[in-house]
Amino acid sequence: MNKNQNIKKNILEQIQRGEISMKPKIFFVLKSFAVAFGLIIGTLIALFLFSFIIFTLKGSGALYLPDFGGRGLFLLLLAIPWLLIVATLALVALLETLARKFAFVYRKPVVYSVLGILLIVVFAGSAIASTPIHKKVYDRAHEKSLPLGGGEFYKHYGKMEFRGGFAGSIEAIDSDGLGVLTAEGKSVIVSTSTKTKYPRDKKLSVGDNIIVVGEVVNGKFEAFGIKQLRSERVPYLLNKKLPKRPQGERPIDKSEINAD
Amino acid sequence: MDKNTEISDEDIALAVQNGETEEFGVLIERYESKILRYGKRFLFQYEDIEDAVQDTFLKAFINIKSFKVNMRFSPWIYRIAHNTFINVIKKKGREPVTFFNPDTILGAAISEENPELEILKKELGEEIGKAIQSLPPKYREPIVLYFYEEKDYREIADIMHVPTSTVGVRIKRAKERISKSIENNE
Repeated sequence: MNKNQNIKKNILEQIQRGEISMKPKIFFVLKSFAVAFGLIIGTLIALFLFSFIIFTLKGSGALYLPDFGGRGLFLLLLAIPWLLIVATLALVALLETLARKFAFVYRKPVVYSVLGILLIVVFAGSAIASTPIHKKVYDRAHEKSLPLGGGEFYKHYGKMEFRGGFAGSIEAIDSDGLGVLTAEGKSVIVSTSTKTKYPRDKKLSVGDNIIVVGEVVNGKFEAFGIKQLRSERVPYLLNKKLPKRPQGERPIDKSEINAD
Repeated sequence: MDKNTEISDEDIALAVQNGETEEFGVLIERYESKILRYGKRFLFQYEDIEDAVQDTFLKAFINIKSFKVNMRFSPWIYRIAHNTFINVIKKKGREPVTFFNPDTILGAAISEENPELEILKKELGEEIGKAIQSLPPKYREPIVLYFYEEKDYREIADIMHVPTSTVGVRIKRAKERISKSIENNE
C-alpha cells in the first residue's frame, strides 16, 4: 500500500473509530456572530471616542485655534487628547483585522479598507458630535454618576479647556483690554496691546463671544490674539452659562480697545 | 458514469456535512495528489510533507461544516493546506514568515497575462524548479500555485488571503528573481 492510499485509509479509519468528528454548524455560526459582534461593538466604540474628541475640542473652543496660525495650531496639538486618539486608532486596527476575514476586504489592498474605516469613523463621528448626545451625557455626568465609570470618563477627558487660552464672552471693554467671562463662570481680565491680533474688519462689543490666546504675565492674561466666534462655534458650556446680551449695548470699535 | 466524476466536490461536501462521512474518501482521492504536489513544491526542503497533507485533510473533515456549499470547494481546501504548510514553516523556524507584509498595503495594477513566464516555464522546466526553491516563502507560494496548480490570481488571493494585486506583484518579483537566478547560473 502506498503512502497516498495510507492517508485516505488513515483518515477514514479515524472517522470510523470516532477519533475525529466534525465540529457542529453552530460552532461556525457563533464564530461568525462573534466577528460581526466585534465589528459592530468596535465601530460603535470608535465612533463614540472620535465624536467625544470632537465634542471636547469644540466644547473648549480648541478646535478653532488654527485660526490663530502657527501658534494656534501648536496649541491645538497640545489640546488634543492623544490617548483617546491612540485608542481610536487601535480600534481602527482591530476593525481592519476583523474585516479582513471577508473576501471583499482581503482581496483589496489594506490602504483601501483602512481609509474606508477611517472615513466612516471621521464622518459619522463628526455627525454624532454635532447631535446633543454628548451634551446630555456630559450634563448627567456632572449632575449624578453614570454607570461603568462613564461619569469619571466625561469629567476627566471632558474638561473643556485648553492650555494657552480660553473661550469666553466679553463683559467689559476699556482702553487696556477686556473683561471676559469664561465657560467656567470666571471673570478674566485680558490685556491687549498693539501687538494683539484682532479681526481687523469687525467691531468687538460687550456680549460678543470670543476665543483668546496668550499667556499670564504678572497675574494678567496678555492676549496674543482674539477671534470672534460665530454663533455656531460658541462652546457648549459657554453658551449655557452666558447671561443674555445687555439690551442697547453700544458696539465699541476695535480702535478703542487697541489704544495703549 | 463513475460517481467520482459525476458528482461535484460541493455536492460531496454537502453529503459529508449531512453525515455521509465515508464520502469524504472521494474528496481525499480527488485532492490528495494536488495538495501533495503543492506541499512538495512549497515545502520542498521540509520533511513530513505527507503528515502536513494528512493534517490538511483531517482539518478539512473537522471543519467541513464551515464550508459553504454555494462556494467552490477547491479554494477552501487549498486555504486549509496553505495554513497547515505555513504552520510547518513557522514551527521549523528555518524561513521567515511575517505576520504582516508591506506589499499588501498598496495596490498595483499587474496584468495576469504573463507570456514571458509561460515561455520560461516551458523552456526551463527543471532549472526553473530549482530557482523557485531558492525563493522565500512569500514569493515561492504564489508562483507554485500559479505555475503548478494553475490557479488564477483571484484564487491565489483567496487561498493566501492577500489582495489580488499583491499576488500579481509577488509573481512579478518572483519571476524577476527566477530570471536573475538563471542568468547567474549560466
